[in-house]
Amino acid sequence: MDLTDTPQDILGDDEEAPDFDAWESPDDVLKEGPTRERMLDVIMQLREPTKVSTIATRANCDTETARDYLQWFAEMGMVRELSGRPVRYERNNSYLQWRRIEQIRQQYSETEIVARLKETLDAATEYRERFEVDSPDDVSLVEESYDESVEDIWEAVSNWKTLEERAALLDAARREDTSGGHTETIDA
Amino acid sequence: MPEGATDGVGGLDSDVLERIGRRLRGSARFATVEYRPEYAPNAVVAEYDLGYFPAAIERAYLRIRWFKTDDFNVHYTEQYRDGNSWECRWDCHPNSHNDREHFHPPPDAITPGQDMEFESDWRAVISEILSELDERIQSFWE
Repeated sequence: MDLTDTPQDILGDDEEAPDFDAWESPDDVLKEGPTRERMLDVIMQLREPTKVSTIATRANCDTETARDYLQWFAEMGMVRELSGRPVRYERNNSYLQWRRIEQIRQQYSETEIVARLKETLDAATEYRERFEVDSPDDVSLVEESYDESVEDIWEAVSNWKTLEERAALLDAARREDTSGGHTETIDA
Repeated sequence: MPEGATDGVGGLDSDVLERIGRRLRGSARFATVEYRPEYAPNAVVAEYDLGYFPAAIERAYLRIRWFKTDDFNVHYTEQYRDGNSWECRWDCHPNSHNDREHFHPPPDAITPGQDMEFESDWRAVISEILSELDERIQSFWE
């Protein structure tokens, strides 16, 4: 079925076509805007070390501009710089995790963090019992003993991984001192 | 089993998902864009502005998930006042019914779907889907 096969009799007698002028083209929605935003969109998907000129092409800016941003992002910790010729960059997952931990600590009280961590761990335990293994990495998508389709197992395993990652972030947020990054502690 | 069906499985990529939400929020197509709402904690949910739809439709929305393996689901649903719905889904994930990249066609996102090839850049994937849906929404009025 074609997506444009819309029902013939759907319009009421007094319905008038809306004005679609406010709709920017989909490419503009996804790829226009300030260079900073375009660069951020691109660096979030740098899963492997990537050279500056490739990043510049994706972000639709010149190589020198991309290099400036990448050096700045690397100083901030958002990307990791791999020296060599050519210099390459990849997304820095430890920075992104740290950022999530900070967000959790700003968003929730300590009690809420503990409650959410418990919920998350309980949900992960259900998967552990369902698959009878300790880690989502131990589940095979094609194991014949599972009475489920590959896509259902994929869905479950990716959910389980998401829960484990969430639990790790909540746990880190719970453990860290809440004074805003000061590591000063009082030893009793 | 189609090639690639046993490749890696990853958790949700909340950082790419956040960028998707931020981009969609900038479009007049959508009335609201929610990042990981309580009722869909692993997704961005973008509600189309119903001003662009015939009155017979009471809800039209996209539910998007994106994973660290660059697998994804983009699920579009129209709900009608008479209780019917119309939906389709663009998917990239391990499965046994199609290639990793596939499309579950309307009106009920049936399985098996059609094998597809998508671009690897998340912006290109979403842009292509918005284009197809733009055509659909405009065709209500033609």
